[in-house]
Amino acid sequence: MKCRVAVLLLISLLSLTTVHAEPAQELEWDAMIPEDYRPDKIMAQFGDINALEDDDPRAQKILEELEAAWKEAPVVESLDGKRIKLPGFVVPIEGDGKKLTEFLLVPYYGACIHVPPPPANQTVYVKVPKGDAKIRQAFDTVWVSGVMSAKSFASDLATAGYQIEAEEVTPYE
Amino acid sequence: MAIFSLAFKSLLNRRFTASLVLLSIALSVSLLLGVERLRVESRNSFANTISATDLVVGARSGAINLLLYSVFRIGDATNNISWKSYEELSRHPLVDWTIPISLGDSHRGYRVMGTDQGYFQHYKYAQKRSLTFHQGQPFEKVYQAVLGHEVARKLGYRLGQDIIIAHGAGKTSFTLHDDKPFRVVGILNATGTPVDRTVHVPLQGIEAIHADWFAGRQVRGLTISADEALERDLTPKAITAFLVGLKSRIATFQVQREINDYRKEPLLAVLPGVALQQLWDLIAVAENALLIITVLVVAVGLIGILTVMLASLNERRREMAILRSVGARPGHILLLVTGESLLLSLIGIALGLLLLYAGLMLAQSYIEAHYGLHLPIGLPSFREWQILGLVGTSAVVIGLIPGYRAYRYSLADGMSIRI
Amino acid sequence: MPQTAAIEVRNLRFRWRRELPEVLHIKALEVARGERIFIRGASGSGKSTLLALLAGVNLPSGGDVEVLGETVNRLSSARRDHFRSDHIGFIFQLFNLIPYLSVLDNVTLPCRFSRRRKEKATLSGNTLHDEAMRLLAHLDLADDDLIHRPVTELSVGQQQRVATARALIGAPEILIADEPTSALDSDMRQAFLRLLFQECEETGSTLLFVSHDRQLEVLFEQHIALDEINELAQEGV
Repeated sequence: MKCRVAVLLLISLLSLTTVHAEPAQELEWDAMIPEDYRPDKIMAQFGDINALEDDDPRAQKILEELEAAWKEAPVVESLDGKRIKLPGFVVPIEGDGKKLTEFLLVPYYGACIHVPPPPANQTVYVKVPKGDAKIRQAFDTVWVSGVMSAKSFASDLATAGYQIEAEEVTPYE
Repeated sequence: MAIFSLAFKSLLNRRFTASLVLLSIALSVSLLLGVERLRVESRNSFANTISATDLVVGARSGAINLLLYSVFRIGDATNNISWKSYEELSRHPLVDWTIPISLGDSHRGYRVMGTDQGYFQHYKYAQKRSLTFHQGQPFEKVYQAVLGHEVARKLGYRLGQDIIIAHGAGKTSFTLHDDKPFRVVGILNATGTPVDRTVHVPLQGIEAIHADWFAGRQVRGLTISADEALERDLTPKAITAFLVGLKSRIATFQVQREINDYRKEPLLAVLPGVALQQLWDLIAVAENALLIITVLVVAVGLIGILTVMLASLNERRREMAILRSVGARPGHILLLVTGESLLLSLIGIALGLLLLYAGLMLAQSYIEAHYGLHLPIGLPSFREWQILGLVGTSAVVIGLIPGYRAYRYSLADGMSIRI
Repeated sequence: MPQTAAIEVRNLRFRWRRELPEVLHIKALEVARGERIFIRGASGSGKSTLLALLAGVNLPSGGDVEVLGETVNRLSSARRDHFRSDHIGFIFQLFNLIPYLSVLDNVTLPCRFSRRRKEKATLSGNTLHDEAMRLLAHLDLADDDLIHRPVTELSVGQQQRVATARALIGAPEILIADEPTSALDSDMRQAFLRLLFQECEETGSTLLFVSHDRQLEVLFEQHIALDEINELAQEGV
């Protein structure tokens, strides 16, 4: 009798935990770029770049192709629906004076003019439903945990790219 | 507790001195809280002015400058954007909508903004709220205007009334476009943003009133009447700025970069959230300075309590001897003196809160009218409670100083008669 | 069963600080319960010090002080304070009253610190207020107008009587009066003393009356000269 009760208890406990699903997996920014679109892979196609002169037409072509690849920036669709944890810098979009409800998460700080902006697959649109991410200022570093949606840019633009419904936003130490 | 009743009666006995100290604490606390409330509400007010807008674009200047003149109507643009550039950029595949803005005229101190009908559809504030009409509708014809709530209220305008636009942004102007009046066709609901203080007219309206202006002045003999102006091509040649909504948030950086790199004209595209943050960082220095000053004022008030309590200690040694003789312990004496300091502080804090609310009630409408800042008269926020708690704790610590002194005196004196 | 003495002092020694010489050395002193004893001593003879020791406010550097059977100097300071408030009432020479309390609040003050005295005061079903009024009436202070005046406006004689009421409320076993009549006019002194005796008789309290006024000494059955019992005084210190 006691044994049965214990088993029942165990099962109910287990089911309770599974309701919350898998824990958030840490994600790296590199993993968000599909294999065949890695800049280094593209670079490899052209051989030793350092050997080229700056005004060599091939150098120009490489740059143009890199830029195009940058613009294309497809998403890794296998990440869609996964619960992940991602660190990054905050670029505020929507919020009142005290908390942010929407922001963009990027892998590097600031908007430096000498470097292209983060491509579309290195920019995550984060929504904080509870609106309680008390992020102190722009370019704060945080961990964002939540379910990632990764839809290709060929689909409806409003839902395209990487988006996260944040469950938790914590400061990055 | 017996001790606190004693403390209260003791303070009552020294009413005059006590109330002076009380007043100083009260004033300093209300100052501290008032400044804090102002700071928070200013932030909220700024943050609530614009929403759901991905980029703000203007002639190349500074990000904060652009934000201030285009969204907050503070300050002026240094340069304009050509209509051609605007059209080309609004055709960008990633752009969902744009709102062109033209600034530079005023009406009795309120800014006049030229825009299109898309403004009433796409402009959002305070967490995606849309503009709604109190009366009337958006403009359709050239010489029509839509008033912000405060403009209508303050100047007592109604639908159907005619208004004259003046050139320049001042309250008075010597250059009126008085030959081309505008008819009020719509009055917006209050938003708590600079929209309330703006007169909205179509871009074509701005062009029309400047049709006979050359090099910044109307030339006599070359005036064009209102009707004549309508027959001309009223497409604007330049605008001051435009707001952009994109199809994908994620494309923001890309589009921003493209606009910033636009070769045909020097332009600046900013993310409103980021520019706002930069603005706040700028103001933060002043805010912190103000905070430090108000904290010091509170400190002065607390030191006042300390002074009053310490000064009175010597003449109270007899009183303490009597208390010891009836069985009070040195610890009781400590509690008594500290309790008096604490009571003074607590009553002072409570009085400070009352003063704050009284002040808010008096000043609320004035501040709202002149600065567009709404100061709510709600209960203290969590942070305000924290501040009050900190003041109270400091008061306890301050109170322990004379309390401890009294404790030591009573130990040393015992029951000896020190007259 | 024989009652313990009210006060018993054995080989009491006292010095203010370790490096200072002793100021008091009393081999033996005994006061029986209900006794009324006059302790004569000039100013500076150490009588206030003795009172403080008897009350447990200061600790002897040697010897014992036994009050109502309790060795007071062995108690912790908290218990000593408690003991004092429970069993001893005080009347000082001057400034007996707390200026920011009313007459009645002054009288009932000991009851705030001693539950025992509070209970004794309200034993007959009276409130503290009533009991205070009763005592004041006995001391010729029942005048309504007087009661409601701030204590600072009372004459010295009136203040002393209020102090006496305070010392008596809740019937503490021992009453210590330190020069209570020195500030009074000579004609008032005898009257005051009579009232004091009356009350002590009623409550059965032991009275220790310390003074330098020899005129009053004759009214007491027991008297002691501090200089006679203080060994140090005799040695000509």
